Amino acid sequence: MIRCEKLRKEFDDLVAVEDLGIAIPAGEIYGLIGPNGAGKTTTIRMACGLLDPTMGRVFVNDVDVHSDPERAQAFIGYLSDFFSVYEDLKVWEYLDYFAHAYKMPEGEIAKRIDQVIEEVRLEVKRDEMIKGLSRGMKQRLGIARAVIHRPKVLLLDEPASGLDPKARLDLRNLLRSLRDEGTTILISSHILTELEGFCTSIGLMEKGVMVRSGKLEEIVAAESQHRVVRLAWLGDAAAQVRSQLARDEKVSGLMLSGEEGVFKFAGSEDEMAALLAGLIAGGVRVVSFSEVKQTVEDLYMKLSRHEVM
Amino acid sequence: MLKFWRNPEFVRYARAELRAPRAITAGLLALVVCALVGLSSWAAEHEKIQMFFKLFHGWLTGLQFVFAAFWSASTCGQAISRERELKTFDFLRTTRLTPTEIMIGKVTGAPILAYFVVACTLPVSLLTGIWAGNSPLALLAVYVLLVVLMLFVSVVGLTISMVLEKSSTAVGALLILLPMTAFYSLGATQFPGLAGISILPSIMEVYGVGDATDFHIPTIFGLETSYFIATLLLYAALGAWLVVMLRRNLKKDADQVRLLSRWGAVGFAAFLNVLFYAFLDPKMMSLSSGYDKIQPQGLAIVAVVLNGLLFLLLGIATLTPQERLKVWWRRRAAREEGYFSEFGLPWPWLVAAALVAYGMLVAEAAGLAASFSLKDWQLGRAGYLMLVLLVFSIRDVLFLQWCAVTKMKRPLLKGLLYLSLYYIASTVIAAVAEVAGNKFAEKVFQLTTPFGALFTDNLGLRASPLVFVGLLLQLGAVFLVLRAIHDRISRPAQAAVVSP
Repeated sequence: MIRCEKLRKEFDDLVAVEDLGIAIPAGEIYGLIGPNGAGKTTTIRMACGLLDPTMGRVFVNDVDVHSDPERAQAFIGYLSDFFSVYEDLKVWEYLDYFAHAYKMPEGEIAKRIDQVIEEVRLEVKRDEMIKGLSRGMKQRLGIARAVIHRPKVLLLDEPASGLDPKARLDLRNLLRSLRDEGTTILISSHILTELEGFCTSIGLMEKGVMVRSGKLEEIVAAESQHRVVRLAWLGDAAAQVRSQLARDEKVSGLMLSGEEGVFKFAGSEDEMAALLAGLIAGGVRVVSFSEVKQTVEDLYMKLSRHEVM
Repeated sequence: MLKFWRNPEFVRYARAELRAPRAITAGLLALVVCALVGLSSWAAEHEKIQMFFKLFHGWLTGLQFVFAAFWSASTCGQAISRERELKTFDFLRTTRLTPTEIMIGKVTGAPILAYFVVACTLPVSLLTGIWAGNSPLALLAVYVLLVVLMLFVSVVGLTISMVLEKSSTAVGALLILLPMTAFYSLGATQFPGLAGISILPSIMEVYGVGDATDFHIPTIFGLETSYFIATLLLYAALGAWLVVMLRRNLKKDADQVRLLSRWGAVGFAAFLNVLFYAFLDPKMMSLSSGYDKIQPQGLAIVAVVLNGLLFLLLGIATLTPQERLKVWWRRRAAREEGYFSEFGLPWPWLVAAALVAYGMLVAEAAGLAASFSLKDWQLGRAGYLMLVLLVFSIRDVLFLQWCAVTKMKRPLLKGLLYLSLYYIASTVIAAVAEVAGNKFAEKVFQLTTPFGALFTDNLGLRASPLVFVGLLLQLGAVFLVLRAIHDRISRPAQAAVVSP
């Protein structure tokens, strides 16, 4: 759905994005992560046609964004972190303006406006002037604007900045429902917890270079030679747990404390199940035994070259 | 596209600007102003009722023109730059609206309050106009002029707003309206039709009050016409070029704006030369004597000087953005693009524009061969002068291009200031040298500025070797600036520095 081919952007003597090549299939939520200045915003601005690349091309739904911009824009919804809205319009007028600007069929516009206003929970503000809205409400209105024309691709640059926790949760839910409807989402953030839990793929950028890109679980699997397992038991069984686990050559880095412990396991899920069965059969009263999933933050810290200033 | 009232931009402006409280206030204010104008006219003239209406109508129409022009210029003059400042323009750029649609929406929508106020006062001005003894056709012509003026001023304002990074209402409007007004005085020169850029001669002509001035009858290619036609023609032709520039650049980032393509620049040079010769009144060349008389060689010099200025403006309009120039440089090194590429250096296209300009001068001379021999035009001298002006223009344009590829802020403005400083310094040196003798000042001018050649009667290698030496010096400077540009754009880019 989104394809960047050798995308490059230079500002004066600086390379902001260096020969970027990514392909994001339909229905993905792709999280672009990296520190400030890594090239995330530049990439998104090139992807939505706001910035001409120095070299390379971007395709959205197989349409070249820079050679056929008006056609490509039909498929793109865009929202940036800091933006303004036309304060002298009412909420519904603002959405009506963009619905017409995206050349939606006239008959669908009124219904669609009501629908997105409901999705971003601005029903009570429908006929209010925008200048009277709070910052969070304006951000929600911005999201409504970005999705008004049912874009196939949503490009979001730090969309949650300025939103309160409740609105952030609403945004996540909205993005999930859009993904379920088949929308491809490219979302950038340097607040990694924002992306946790709903990104299906990630791309880590540093100094304009894509350090790693792909499905989240594939990257996790590729980066993890072993799983981290946390277990807890009842009673004074620490010595038994230690001896049983130490016998398994796939277990390493064992750390026990009181009635719980953590260790690394280099085997498969079946082998992990067998290990648990062995502990129970050995008389350890296990109350929890689970793999500690790596967070996006863990992954970022592992993959990042930390070339920051 | 032509149904502008359905254009989303127009609708947005209409909704925002004409909300009921605002529209009612504006309408009431307009009617109050009408009443005040009426009262003051009555105070000035109440014995002859027709004179009263004449005065009333004159003042009211004048106010309509001033308000409409200023409002159109100021609103369109910040329509894009203001949106860039507010960061709303990016969202407009990512819609499916084409540059043409955005342009139409802004040109018709941004000054909508002015249209509304004019519409509110229109019945009063039409009635007073008729009671003042004006024909309905004359009144129609006046309001056609008003609408055309508003559209033209709006297009100029929008173009300026597209180029400028910051918005300034009043300055923008004055920048548009004052130069236009200045064209008024051309009505008394050998190019009377060009006075049509100012709306005043046309209005005076429509109302029949132009007889008191010493304006000539405007001509187009020697055929007598009216100021009304000249104005419409000029606004349509110049407006069309501005529309081309807007369509080409409206959805681009400010630093990527380049008003004209290479061929567009050559075409624009040809157009302005056609305009120059078209509005020349050939009768002025046949006068036996007098202030208005112009000799063929004088006309050739005026054409060359105007083209010299035009080369500089065209060069500025076709400066290549740094990034594009770098890409061109790399592609050229890889033999993928040539020197005359669209994104290459602008100088070859200035040469093309000069050839076109000189060709048109020769064509004009040939066209008037029945009245003047080719010798009268001193085409050789004109050609030499044009060469001098071209080389200086290329030097200055390349210097501006060098400024644009460096990291300096506001490179164009600073570059122009440096160039001004250079010419001021040359003038000061020449003025100081004048103490040592008149010839000394002339030599300084011949070596460092194109003005030396302009004021030298006998141009040629033997007659004025310093002009030739000055020309060689400028070619050397051109070479140096080219080297500096190439050094700058061939630097390899480095990876960005990031922060946590």
